[in-house]
Amino acid sequence: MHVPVPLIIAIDKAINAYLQLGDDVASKLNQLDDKLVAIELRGLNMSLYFLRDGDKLSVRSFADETPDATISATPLALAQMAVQKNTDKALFAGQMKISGDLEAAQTLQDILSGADIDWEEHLSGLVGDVVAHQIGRGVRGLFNWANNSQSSLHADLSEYLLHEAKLLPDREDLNNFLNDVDTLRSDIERFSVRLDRYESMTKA
Amino acid sequence: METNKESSSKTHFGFEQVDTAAKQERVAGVFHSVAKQYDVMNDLMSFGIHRLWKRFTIEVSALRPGQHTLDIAGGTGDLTALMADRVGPTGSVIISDINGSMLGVGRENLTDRGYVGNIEYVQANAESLPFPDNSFDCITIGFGLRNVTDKDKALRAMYRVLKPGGKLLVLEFSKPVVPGLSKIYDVYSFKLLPLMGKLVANDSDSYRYLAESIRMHPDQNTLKGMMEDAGFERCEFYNLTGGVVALHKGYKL
Repeated sequence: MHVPVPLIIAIDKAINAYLQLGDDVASKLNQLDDKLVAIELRGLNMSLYFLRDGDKLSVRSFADETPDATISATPLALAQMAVQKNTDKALFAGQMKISGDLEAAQTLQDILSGADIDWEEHLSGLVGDVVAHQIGRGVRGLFNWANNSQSSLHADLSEYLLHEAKLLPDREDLNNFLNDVDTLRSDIERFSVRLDRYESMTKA
Repeated sequence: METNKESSSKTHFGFEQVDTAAKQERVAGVFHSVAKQYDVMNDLMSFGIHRLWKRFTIEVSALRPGQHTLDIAGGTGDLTALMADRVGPTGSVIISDINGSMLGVGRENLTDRGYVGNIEYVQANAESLPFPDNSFDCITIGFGLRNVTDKDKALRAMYRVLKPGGKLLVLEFSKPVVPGLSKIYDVYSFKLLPLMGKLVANDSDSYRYLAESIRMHPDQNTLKGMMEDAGFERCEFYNLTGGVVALHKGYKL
């Protein structure tokens, strides 16, 4: 499936309007050379293609050639990268996959994430500071909520498996059991050594 | 001998049957008369959606800087401008139209908007393109094929001038595929369109021809078959706005 044209136009405009603000964008674009880099939206079966076009970064929904590099990521991972600042990139390690020309993919990633788009500032030009801040808070809240629910789901699930369904042993019980096994093993070793000694004594 | 044979055969001009030789003249008459208001009428008739159809065509073209392209029936130059942006100063766009008035309006439009340098203008018949074999990376024909008298011949000519690996994009009115849309579309194109033509451009006949010629144009699968007959491969089409318009794509491999 292809990305709808109005969306492509909007993405292209937003990215390029933003890139105009950065200083080192031109040199980074030069690094990209004539490489075609694709961002594959996992789950949506959609791809965006990025190509340097003079001093601009052209965004397309179709490409004839096989891309030099492909970044495959879930839409949520991409959105999180765009909205949340200073987020540990490693956080997304599992949600993002890069294949092909790593350098080109890295350069594109640098261009896009280095752009560090201040969405709130852009929004405030349209709807005013107060509303933009509220929206920004709302979106950040949404991601926090998603993170919280994820971790609380994790906690709930392990609690259920441990205490209610009793399918899994408690960590404490497991440790005790493992200690007991260790003790038993040592006891047996000591016993076998003592047995050896008695045997040699009786022979003598 | 060829001309005798042609003049004796009939073809359609809207819903009318006319001599093959006469169609070209009649179509020329229509476009001479609408050239001046063509852009305004396009916006009015399609509610501005034609811009999206053209933009989609450029997306599918996947043009890259430095490529050489041909815009047949380029008319007022909408597609040409978009293509000129994509191929950049190292590439080129040749805009061709059989109609001098349309080409003239297109040339003025493009020059006024600052599109110069990588654009050339050629007045030519799509059935016999005056270019060497294997010249272009991409050929587009936007809302032009239905006005061509011998469509098969035109498709073969386009195939000839395309480079191997190049692609043809045909943007043209087609058959609505969304149920219920056909009815609305009929009323719109046979009642409203000529009325708008009369009110805005003071020329209801020309706009009735536009509506009728759209109905006589082959539907999605027929056109795809015609492209395959002309030699194009990996042919496919995208329905736009519920099939009111379709974009056909085919490669010369």
